[in-house]
Amino acid sequence: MKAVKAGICLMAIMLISGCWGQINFDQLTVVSAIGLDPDKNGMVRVTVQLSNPTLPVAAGGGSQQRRPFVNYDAVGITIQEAIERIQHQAKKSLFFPQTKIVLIGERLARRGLDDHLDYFWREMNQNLNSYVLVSRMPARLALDTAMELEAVPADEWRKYLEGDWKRPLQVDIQMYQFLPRLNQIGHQAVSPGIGPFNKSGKSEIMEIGDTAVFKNDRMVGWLSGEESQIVNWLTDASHSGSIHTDLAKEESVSFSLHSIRAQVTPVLRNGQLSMKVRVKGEAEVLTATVPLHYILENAMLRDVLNQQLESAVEETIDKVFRQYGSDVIGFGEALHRSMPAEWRKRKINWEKELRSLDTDISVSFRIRKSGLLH
Amino acid sequence: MTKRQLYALSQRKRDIELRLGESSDLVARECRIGQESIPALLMWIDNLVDKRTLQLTTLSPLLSLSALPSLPDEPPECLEELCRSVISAPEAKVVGTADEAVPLLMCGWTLLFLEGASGIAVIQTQGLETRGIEEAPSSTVVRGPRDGFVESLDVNVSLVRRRIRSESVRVDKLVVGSVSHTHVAILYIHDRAKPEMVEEVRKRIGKVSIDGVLESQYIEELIKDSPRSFFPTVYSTERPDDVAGILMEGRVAILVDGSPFALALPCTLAHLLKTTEDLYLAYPVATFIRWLRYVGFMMNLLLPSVYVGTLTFHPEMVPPQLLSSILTAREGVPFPVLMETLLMELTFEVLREASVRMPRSIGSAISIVGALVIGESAVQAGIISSPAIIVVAATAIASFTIPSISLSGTVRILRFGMVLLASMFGLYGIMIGLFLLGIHLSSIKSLGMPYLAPFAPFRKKEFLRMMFRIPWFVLNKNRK
Repeated sequence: MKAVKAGICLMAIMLISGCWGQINFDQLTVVSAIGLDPDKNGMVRVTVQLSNPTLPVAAGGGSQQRRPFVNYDAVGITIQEAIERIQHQAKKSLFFPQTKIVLIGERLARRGLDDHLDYFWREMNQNLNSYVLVSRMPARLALDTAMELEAVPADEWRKYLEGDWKRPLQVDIQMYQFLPRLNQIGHQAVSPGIGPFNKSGKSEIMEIGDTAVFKNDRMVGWLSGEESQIVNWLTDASHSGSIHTDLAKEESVSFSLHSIRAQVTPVLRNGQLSMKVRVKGEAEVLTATVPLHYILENAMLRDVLNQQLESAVEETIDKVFRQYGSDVIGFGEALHRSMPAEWRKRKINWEKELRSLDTDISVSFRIRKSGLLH
Repeated sequence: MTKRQLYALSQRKRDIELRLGESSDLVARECRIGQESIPALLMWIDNLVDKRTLQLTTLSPLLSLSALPSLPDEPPECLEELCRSVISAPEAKVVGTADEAVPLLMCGWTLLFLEGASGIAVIQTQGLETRGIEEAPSSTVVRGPRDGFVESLDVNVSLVRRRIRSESVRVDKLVVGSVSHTHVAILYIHDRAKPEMVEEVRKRIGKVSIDGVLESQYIEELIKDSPRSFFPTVYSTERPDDVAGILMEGRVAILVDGSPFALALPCTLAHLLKTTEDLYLAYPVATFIRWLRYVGFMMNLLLPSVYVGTLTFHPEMVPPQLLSSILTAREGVPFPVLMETLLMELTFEVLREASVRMPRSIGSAISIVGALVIGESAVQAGIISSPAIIVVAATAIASFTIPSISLSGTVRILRFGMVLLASMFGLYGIMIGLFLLGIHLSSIKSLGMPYLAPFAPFRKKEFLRMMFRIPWFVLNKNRK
């Protein structure tokens, strides 16, 4: 009899959902994106994009008539506080572990993130694999008006950032990489930017491009696509790219670049720290607006390419180190690895060191294919 | 003369009749033998005896006998002489008392009494109807021999013997069952099977005290190691080629009269997941199929519990698109995930039981009801979500990949336990379940062989043979 009673109790426990850390599965609503904006008095406005589950089109979900996503927002001193307010609006249980995008408004990024991002360090039910984007317009507005081919814009953005084809001109960073770099002076954070590109009616087509450069927890400026590509090479994030060289006025040759290997080594000479950058790779002619004769012009093309790339690399390093004072290519960490004692001595004044750093850059590309025209 | 009176035929006939409670199928036939016209009496049980054999081997030689070969004054000798030189049945002998004779009578032998002789001659005239040899329905093969065991022990032994024509095959016959007197044969190859193993099997069968054995399961349950375990520690098969293979491996087989299922010992988990067909297919194919079977075994055990555990405790593990479609599919379903899964599992078990029990002629009705009504309509009516049906269906299909019926039954029961554990503790619960299972499996043995051998204790060569079907040419090379 006792066993029967115990069995009935056990059965009841198991069938009651919500018990014992069980998740109330049927009340789940997946949060696909979180937007962060500044508000008055140092508060933060949190926008949460909830996606409405839909059947895949293949399973007959194409004809469903419901809103694919809904945005809720609330203001709080901490993100947690705002999310609790959102909970009251949304009524369902918010499911954070599959968040795809964390969108940070540029104004908030420039104001400083340290006070707020603590939430992402501590909260367990969240996705550290979500991508971080900095939005040129307020994040709330971006989430509201973005229009993409996919029903939920965050899905589209994540797939784009995950994919390999976007690589050369685009950095990408996930939450787990982003968070520690906010405090890592030897390797600062960068994040892809997103901004309105084309307005059509009420919705905007968003463009993911450029790169937001952070200095500690503050954003300090933007890098263009070409500069982002060089940062990608120097941080070993991508090994390919493309470049358009100007041969003469209004005459240009486009190259696609492959197998790029970049080496950043700190060199110490007479107590003066300098940076040695070596970039090697292969180039392929894609388009030319002038007639080319390979045999005659091969050497010329190569030299022009190497020269242009060399100055591009130099300008980029100059911009991030001197103008922004931020070590986004991880030179500090390279020094830390090769000369730990030197790094301990210099890290206190690292920003100053960066501004006065000597750079020795050499770029050598080999032209592998000319396009089989001659 | 007193002797003759003492062994008066009528009295002895009466004696036997009383023992059998004057059963109506006991037939007695009196006759007179030879010129002296010595009265004799034949008794047999109708229907157990092949009448034609009886007539050819016993009746006509006796009746056509002109002179008794021996002196009538010494009737015991005379009976022996009859057996020796008159009766043409392949088996005939003289026993001393009725106690010895009656069990033989019940087996279909014929008793011969002679006036004045104290002994009883028993003559083998057994003639039982047997089923023809057919393909074993419980284990069909695409390639391989198609004969299966039948209910007759003699036929079954012959099916094995004709596969291994070696003098070293031994057949030990025992009688089990105080009422049923069932014949049980222990088969082994004496220079391959370990003598202590054979002795142990013989001892265990000898110890069996039961009144009747109607199927080999009776024996299996009584002789198996760790009888309380859910897992079968005795192998059962319906295929003679399987038994032949078992004997060649040095294991011991047990055939039971009246059952087409042979038993084999020792039997480990790896044995239960092998089929004879593995040896008949090309080695890459056979290895692939074997792995598939291992996967099927795990799927059968774990799929529903992983479904329940992930959804109720770790939905973040489900890929986003899949989560989205599961959430949509579950919209409006009234039951929690656990209840839904249990409901579907139970429905499937009921369907399966029904399809075994129902008459063949209405088989299609059940499948229509099962597939269409329960599957399709339950989803449309919003009672069950379609992912649950997919999970249960996949589990069901995976369960048919396990070749052993008894193991498959065990896994079916354990599956429910796993689902309950998963619903309480999530994936953590599944791990607890697997640990408990592992502890149990590594603690049981079958005839001294660890149940998880050759995986634990690890024996490399045998482990490789378990994972891969090593082609014969490699094995031959190694032997040289």
